[in-house]
Amino acid sequence: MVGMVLKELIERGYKNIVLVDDGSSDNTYRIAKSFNIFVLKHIINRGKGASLQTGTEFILKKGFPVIVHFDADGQHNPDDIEALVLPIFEENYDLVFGSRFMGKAENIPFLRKLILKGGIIFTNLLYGVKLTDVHNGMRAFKSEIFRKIKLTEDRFAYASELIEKISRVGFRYKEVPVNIRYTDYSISKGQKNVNALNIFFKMIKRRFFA
Amino acid sequence: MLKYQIFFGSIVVLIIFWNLLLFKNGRIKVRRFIIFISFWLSVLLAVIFPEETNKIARFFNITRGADFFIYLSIMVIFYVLFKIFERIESLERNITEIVRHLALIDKDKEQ
Repeated sequence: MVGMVLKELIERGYKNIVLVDDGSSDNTYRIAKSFNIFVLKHIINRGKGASLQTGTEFILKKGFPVIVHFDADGQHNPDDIEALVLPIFEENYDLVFGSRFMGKAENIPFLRKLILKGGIIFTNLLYGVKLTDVHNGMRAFKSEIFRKIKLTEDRFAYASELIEKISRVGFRYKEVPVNIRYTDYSISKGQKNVNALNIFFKMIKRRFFA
Repeated sequence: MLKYQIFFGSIVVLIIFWNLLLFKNGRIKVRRFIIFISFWLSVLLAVIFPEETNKIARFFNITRGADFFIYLSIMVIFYVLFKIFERIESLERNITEIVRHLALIDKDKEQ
């Protein structure tokens, strides 16, 4: 799957692709290395939040001006990248969130939708933001904002941490519609529904006890 | 002395000796040693003089000393659990930093 995703991105002309192999035991690293991209390897699995922070630190060293988060499990559509990045260049937004509920979420399981909707209401109330999708992995940022914030949540709770820090610093953000493709593969690679409870407790802890 | 006093008293005495041994071998620090020993000595006193614990319990409007200690133990256990979780999270963060550092260093070497 990772090879297909990389091929799609390269075909559309994206050159500066950074892939973080988070301790994979399959062929991910070998496949990624066969493309002309930047590949970083975690020697052991540390989670999605940790991987994104590693990629971010590498990008900051490289000096690329914009970062786009793009999952390697095939659930994101490379055609959405342009719409994500444009508001940064044309309207000077600091970051742009992708929203599957403004766009299309293909084959989204009912329970997943229910949990996501609950999470959206809760996050908006807790952090005083107005988002229609809070755990969408597709986002674009001005790289410089990561000189002011750092992700410390290793696993999926990073998404809530990101929103919390963004709302605290007061960055300018907007949402654009993106399409998410739910396949058996992407569901198996993504976060589990039961993880919502863990994220809920972490959010409470971060908001009131951190 | 009642059977339960002999049973629990012996266990507590063993724990106190074990703590003394740990301290003697330098495996626990003075502060922790004092906290442990004070705690286990109070437990020993409570086992030997259970009537006295009733007095403390009544001060807090709890009828029996044993109940008071159960409530107290639950609070202590939750506090310790919380501290352990905090410690694990801190260790996890440190591991991530090391893994990240290695990933970035490897990439630097490669280039």
